[in-house]
Amino acid sequence: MKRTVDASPQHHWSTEGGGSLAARSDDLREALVVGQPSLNDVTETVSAIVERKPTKAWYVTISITGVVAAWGIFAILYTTLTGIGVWGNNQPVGWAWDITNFVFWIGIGHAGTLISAILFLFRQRWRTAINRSAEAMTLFAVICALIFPIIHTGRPWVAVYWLLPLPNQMQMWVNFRSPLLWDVFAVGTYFAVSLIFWYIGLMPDLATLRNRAYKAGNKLANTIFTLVSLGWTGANRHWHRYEKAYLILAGISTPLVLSVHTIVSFDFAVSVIPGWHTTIFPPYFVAGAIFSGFAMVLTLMILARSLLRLEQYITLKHVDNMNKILMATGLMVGYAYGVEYFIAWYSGNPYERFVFINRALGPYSWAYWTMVICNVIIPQVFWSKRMRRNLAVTWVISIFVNIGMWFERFVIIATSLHRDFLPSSWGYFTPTWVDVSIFAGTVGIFLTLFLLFAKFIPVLAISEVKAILPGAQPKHGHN
Amino acid sequence: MAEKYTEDKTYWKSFRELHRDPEVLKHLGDEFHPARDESSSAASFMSRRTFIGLLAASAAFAGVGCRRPEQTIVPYVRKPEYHTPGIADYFATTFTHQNFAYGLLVKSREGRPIKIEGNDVDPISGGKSSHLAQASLLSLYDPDRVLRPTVNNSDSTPRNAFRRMADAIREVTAVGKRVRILVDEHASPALHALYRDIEAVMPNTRVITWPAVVAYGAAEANSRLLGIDGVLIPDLSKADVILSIESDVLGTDPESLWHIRRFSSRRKPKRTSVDMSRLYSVESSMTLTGSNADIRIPLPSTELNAFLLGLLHELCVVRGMGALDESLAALLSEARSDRFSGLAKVAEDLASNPSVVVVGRHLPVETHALGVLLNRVLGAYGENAIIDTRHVLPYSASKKEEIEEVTRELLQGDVGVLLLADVNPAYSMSGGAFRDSIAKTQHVFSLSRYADESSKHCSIFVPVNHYLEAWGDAVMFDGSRAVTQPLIAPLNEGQASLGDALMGIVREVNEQAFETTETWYDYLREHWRKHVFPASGRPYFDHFWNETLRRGSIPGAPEPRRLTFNSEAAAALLRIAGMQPDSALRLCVLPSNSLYDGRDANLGWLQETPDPVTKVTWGNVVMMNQATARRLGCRQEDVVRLVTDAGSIEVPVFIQPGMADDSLATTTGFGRTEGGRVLDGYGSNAFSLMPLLTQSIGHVEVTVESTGRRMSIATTQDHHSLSGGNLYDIDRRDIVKEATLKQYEEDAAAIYRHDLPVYGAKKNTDRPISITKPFDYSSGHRWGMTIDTSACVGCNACVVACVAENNIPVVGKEQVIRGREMHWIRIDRYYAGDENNPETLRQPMLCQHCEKAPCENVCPVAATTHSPEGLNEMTYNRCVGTRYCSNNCPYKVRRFNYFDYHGEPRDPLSLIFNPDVTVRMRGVMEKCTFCVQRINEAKYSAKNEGREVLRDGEVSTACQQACPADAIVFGNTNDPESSVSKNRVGDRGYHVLRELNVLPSITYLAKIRNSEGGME
Repeated sequence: MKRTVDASPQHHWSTEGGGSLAARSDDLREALVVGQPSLNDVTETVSAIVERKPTKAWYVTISITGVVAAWGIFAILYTTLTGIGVWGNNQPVGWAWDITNFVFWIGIGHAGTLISAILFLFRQRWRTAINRSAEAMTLFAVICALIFPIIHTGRPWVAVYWLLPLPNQMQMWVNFRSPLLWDVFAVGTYFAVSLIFWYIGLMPDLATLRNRAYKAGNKLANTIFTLVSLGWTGANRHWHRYEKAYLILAGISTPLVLSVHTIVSFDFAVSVIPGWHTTIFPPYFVAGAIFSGFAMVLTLMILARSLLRLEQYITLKHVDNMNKILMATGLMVGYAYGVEYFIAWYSGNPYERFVFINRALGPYSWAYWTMVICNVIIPQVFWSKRMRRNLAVTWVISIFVNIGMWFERFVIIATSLHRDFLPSSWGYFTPTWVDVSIFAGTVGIFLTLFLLFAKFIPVLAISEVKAILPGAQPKHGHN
Repeated sequence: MAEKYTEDKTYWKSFRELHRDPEVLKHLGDEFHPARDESSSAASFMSRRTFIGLLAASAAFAGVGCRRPEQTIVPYVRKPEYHTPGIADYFATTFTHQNFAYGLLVKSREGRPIKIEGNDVDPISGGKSSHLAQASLLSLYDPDRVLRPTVNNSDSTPRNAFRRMADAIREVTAVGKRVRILVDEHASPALHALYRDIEAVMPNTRVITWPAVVAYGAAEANSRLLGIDGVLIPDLSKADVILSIESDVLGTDPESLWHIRRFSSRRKPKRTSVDMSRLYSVESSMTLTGSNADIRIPLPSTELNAFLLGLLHELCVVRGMGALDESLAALLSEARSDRFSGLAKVAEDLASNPSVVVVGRHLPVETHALGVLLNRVLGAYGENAIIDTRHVLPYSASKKEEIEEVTRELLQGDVGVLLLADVNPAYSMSGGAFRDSIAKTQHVFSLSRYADESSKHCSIFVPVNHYLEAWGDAVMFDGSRAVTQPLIAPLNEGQASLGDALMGIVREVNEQAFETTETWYDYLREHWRKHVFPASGRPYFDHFWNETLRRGSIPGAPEPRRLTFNSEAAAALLRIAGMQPDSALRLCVLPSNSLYDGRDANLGWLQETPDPVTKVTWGNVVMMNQATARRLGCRQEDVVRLVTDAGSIEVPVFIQPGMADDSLATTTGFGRTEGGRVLDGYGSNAFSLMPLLTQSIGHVEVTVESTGRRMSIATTQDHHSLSGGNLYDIDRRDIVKEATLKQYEEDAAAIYRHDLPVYGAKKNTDRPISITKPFDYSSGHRWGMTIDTSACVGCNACVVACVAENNIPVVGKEQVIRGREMHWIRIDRYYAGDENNPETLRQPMLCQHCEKAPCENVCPVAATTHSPEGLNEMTYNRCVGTRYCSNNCPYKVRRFNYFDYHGEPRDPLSLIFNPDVTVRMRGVMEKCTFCVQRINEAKYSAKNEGREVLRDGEVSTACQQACPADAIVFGNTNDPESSVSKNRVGDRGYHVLRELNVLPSITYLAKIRNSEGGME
């Protein structure tokens, strides 16, 4: 970076010139990229992150996250070798942190595809600066999530393939009535499509890196980038097909954003347990997932923005927009919390009523109120534009939302289970060090993967950012 | 061969050969020259042959190293007669709990006893069994049983041990000291005879019965007032009104099996015959019997005598019933009946119905005397009356005097040899009392199954057999005679039965002793030949003996006893009873329901069986009500120190609704420290609170000190009553249904008055609307069960029977605290009403085998599926352990193997497993199967007989089989004539959580309380 960039939008506003009416209306909007970088500047900025040597800070950070990840993997191994008993799960709380973590990570994984696919289809051009990292985050979150359905089983060594509909000599088929199986399909599909979508989007940038590595004479990088860029030349035909493929994948991904968490919510909604058996769950879970996903995107992006010096591309407008989505989904989630209480009262079902009274006033009320405060009360700050554009406030609130959304899943899973129909079987769940270690471990895995991504893969979609630079858009002959 | 080449002309292949290089010549004749095998490559370091050799070796190693050790199974070359491998044999034997004996059938597979069941020809058990009998199987295979005798802590042989004991006996006899043998209570006439014979052979010897649980109130009172030496056994089914004075006839009393059977037979009202007895319970503690009472009156123990006196006054003086002597009547005149609200109504009820008063056996003589007087006034005594005077518990005469005497002798140093025969006084006598009493005794020896607390003080220890390995006999209180026969050769080499051991010792002392009877078996047969056989009228003893073995017991007539009422003794005791004790804090020490006196504390099955009242496992607690706890400043799980004159123990506080004010209660059997790996560290020894030389159970003044510590109590059920008025709305859950007898008589629909609305069902019998078609069970069987909550007393027999039948693991205290107990059947307990005197409801809860089972559709791998016969089946092999099924089970009856709970069982524990039931590994879910292995076994045998459908009663589940109350009925509901079908359509039936429309296969029959018309 040769220039220091003033990230304030006013600066940009004053320097942007007139032009046609169409261009003007375009310009009336806040610019998505500030500081008027040239096309080459974009390439330079983003590629430099990949090409330069990792900093000391990067090494320190990845060592820490790596150790945490390794500790988590050790805890997983310990569980597998000893038994689920090393966790706090019991009778009646058969699921606790395991599935809480699963749903939490799946939720985190929602923002990426939403940003890449839905915002793409809605022509929300501000997405370009954040979609790459958000998608990467999606993948890593889904990887973390996928750990749990496997390891939460009593016999993961068979679960890992018995949960798949593979033809076998036992002539034993999976149970298609089970929502857990639907999960396998939903999450598997989501992961596969997200991966392809992300990879397709990466190809032009990988080719750029390949060319630069060739020029710089870096043989190894050149070989790798040559292989992964699949012969991309930037030819018109390539671009043509690329755009088509990207659009199609965006189309495929869009329903997946809704379906994955809908199906995850079926794990609960299809059951008979009061507090789980609720038809509101699909929309409530999807809103919650987007809510948590955006919170995590914000958490990571605000860090990446300053650490990788991407202030020019990830602007306050992005933060503002995302905070708006955060607040909208947060309100949906809050509304769902309220509706659950209304229905519990309105249904006249004593079990249902009890579950919700128990949530707010029972032994897990602390978890419930943590959830409400983090998810409903704190995000109200974002009614103020100043707050939406305050990075520090946004970052802190995004952390609160992450915590709140973790607790939402815990509240749904554990508090519904711990006191269900027969009071004789009621119990209480307390986590063990293994529960904590495994969750921390997945955070470690997630951050480690993200750090690797941030170092070795262009964190911004170079080609897409170029497309939103002033002058990059076709102006129909007016400009 | 090489020589040949030297002749004739020389053919050569190389210069080295030609020039006769010795190295070459050496290998000339070899077909495979080592060098020839060398690869042409100079780099090769290994020849082809070496390579192949190594390859073969490593292949062999690979094969050897990674294979499990080879185990060969060999089929019978000559099959034993009468035995088909894979088919269980049943042998009759007899179980004795203290001096209460009843018949058993022991299921044996390939020579291993694997399940204990009641013997249906036995009139006492009627084919039922208690949790203690069920668990006695585990004690057979207990790995902590001592293997061989020890003399001064080094291994020995029984012969040598006997000889050393005999030497000691001779030595002390020479100096004029005495020999005392302490034995436990028993019901064996042959043992009794043996003890008398020993006393005859060795004149300085006496055999003293000194059980851990000493309670002689009843025997003393009977002996002084009625002239009957022993404890009388009433028949509760004959009484319309039963008044229990803190008695635990349905719980911890040794003969409770009999009482539960008799009591429950009058607790199953039908609309057609609303015959039902009424149970009153007046007690300071909350006993199992009290919790089953129709009307329960909590009263501090200091008031019990006053209550009885008042009752006697009401009956005799006010109502003028019965002819008491004038002296007695005069004593009563001071008693007041108006102190206790409702006493008049109890009296009214007792007076106008055939009724009986049962007094807790731990209560003192004077209370029992009052009970005797009341029963006399009520006319309960007589042949074939409620209290059949011939039904005396065998050998139950008061042991007070002999215990006092032997204690005196011990303290005075008169005893030279003390032989402990299967008793553990170091545990059951308080604190250091045992050590003090044997301080002047030269030799203390032990015959026991475990190296327990007492054997630490013994120089010679000889392990004795388990009753399933030994011969024996028993007499039942109705005069039946029964045989105990060994089911398996002793599992440990050095063991002898108690009889053999005693005979062995005596024979070493006196060679002439037992000349005609070589072994205890001979002695036993001889005893039968002399004392039982003549009365049988059979021609041949062997026939008679074999038939007895086959049946297990022969009916006999009890000895007629004559009552001789002694009014002076009554007056004396009445005077004592009339004394008003100071109202201090009192502790009631009672035997624990699971462990009784702690002899089998090493049995995980019993430790993990929840107390029927508190639901506490693995340890004892001190129970008190909320008010008392508040007054004492303690909370649930606070560890307090209970201090009595005799000693002190530390136990956690348990708030028990229904305890009388200022009344505390705890149980014995816990706090064992020696003898096994399982028992150590659970609970504290409540025996040490009881003063020596009085009863070892009963009431004692106590002070409570705080320790400042807290302790987790391992309960299997938390404190969540169904009582109304709480925030949580749980009173609106209609889980247990009940009605008073009056309500039921007037309108059976009263039972369903709290039903939650169910769509599409107007009547209780209607099926709710469903979007799925009902399951088609029309052909063959459709298994179903009914459980009568009115009959169930909560005795836990079903729980332990299920554990034994289904290879259910014991998980330990930590896991129970975590909520991971594995029992497939649990007895849910709910309270209703007043916290200070709640009504208790019990509901055995097990897999409901729902027709539309919520567990089945959520399993992703189809490991739990529906059978065409209505069973909800669990395929362990397929289960991956997602626990989703358990989460989705509304009854929470599924159990998950959080760890490898079975692990590698210590020898010989693995012999106990039922081979028809899979031993589950960690990570799989399990639950009640309706004993599918029993169903299949019955189906196979029916098929062999050419029948497709089983007859009613042909198959019974383990829980049903054990249930003394006959509360559980299992069978084919496709057959309208089966008893389960008839029960289901009865007017007390309901499904738990019917509103969920999961269509359970278990129908519960509502609890009917015979409380109205009495006190209310």
